[in-house]
Amino acid sequence: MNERDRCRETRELLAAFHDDELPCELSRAVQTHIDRCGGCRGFSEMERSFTAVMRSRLGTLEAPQGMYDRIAPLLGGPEGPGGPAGWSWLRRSTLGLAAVAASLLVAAPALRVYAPATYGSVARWVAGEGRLSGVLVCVECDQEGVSLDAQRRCHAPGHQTGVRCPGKVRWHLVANETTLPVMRDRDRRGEHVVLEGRLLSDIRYVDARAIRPGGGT
Amino acid sequence: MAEIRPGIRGTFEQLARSHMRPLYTMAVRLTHNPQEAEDLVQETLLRAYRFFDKYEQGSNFKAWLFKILKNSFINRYRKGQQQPETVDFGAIEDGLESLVDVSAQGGQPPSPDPEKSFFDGVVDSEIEDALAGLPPEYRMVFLMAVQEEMSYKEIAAALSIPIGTVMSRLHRARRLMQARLLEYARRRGLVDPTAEPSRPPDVVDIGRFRRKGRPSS
Repeated sequence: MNERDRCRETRELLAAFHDDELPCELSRAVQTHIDRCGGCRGFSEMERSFTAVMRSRLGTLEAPQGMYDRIAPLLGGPEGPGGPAGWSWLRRSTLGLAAVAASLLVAAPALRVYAPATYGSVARWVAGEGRLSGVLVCVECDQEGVSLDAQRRCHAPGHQTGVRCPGKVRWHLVANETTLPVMRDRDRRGEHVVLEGRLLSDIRYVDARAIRPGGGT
Repeated sequence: MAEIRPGIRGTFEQLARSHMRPLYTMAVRLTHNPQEAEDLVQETLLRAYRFFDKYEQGSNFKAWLFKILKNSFINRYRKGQQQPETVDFGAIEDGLESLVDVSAQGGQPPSPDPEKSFFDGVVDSEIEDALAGLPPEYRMVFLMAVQEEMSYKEIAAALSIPIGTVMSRLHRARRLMQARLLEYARRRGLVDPTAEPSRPPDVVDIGRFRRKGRPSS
């Protein structure tokens, strides 16, 4: 890495550095760099000054007088926490729940016998599981051929590896203990892959448990 | 019939009342309109109360409220299309690059020890204006980190994004704010007007921004 890239990377980390949000090793590296680089030291001071000014000037606003009191009567429907009134009968009626449970008990085995594929799909849907097929990319800049690592960084600070699916939909890899082994699989860079795991469809995350070569386009 | 335990309403009310200021402040800075902000807060609290049984007691209530506020805001925005629809996403990157490059090329900060003075010299309305120019996704991260002093982990949980994305959005938000404030400072003669100007971007193509994509060629 040349000096210019090192400076750029350091400057991208300065906010997190001052917020004490960097891992110790990275924080030490940033400190070492700004100790010997006048330009980055200047930026570091600028970031510190900027934060201080913003915190002193961006105060919180006083909510209008009586605002909560105006909202409070709207909270107190007969259903209370747990759902709107339209659904409350279902939540409250043990008879209704029993009927639903009985229906499922009857329907599920029948579905399993007569339509195993549908049963499997429904079961996976209920469990939130599925497959995602695509190419590993940087979710920030869409670059292909990026690596994976346990820090979720692919090739630049703050950038993360995800998977781009046909249609250019991009999914983030959720970083947790389950996913980390997948994210350490550096050999998959540039390959078409299939991730298996729990898909969080509304926010486009995949909590991946397995990764393997895929046969996609 | 199940009943709401008497303590739930009281617990919710106590928590909600103590968070009205940050909630209202965030709503105002997202909508730029006090009346819309009130509506947004009302919607947020109604949803929060409805799903209060999902709230994990002892966890960060403010982060939980912000998560609901963000979803409510996005829903309203998508329905109402109240935000500017198109702008040049590339201008953001140019603005960021030019601000960084000014110093990277010379190895010095934008001007000799200027930041403290020029950040201190900008007026509140300029700060609010610069803030309003941020894309909502950047603005929320910026306000949560700088104004509310939430940890990156709390922000990531509230916005359902990875911590790396929090870092990159925060870095870009800060750079955009700095570029815009620098521009104001130049206009008012607070810094050397002959220094290479940055290009403060005006607006963002929200649709493109959401997809995190670059404009297709």
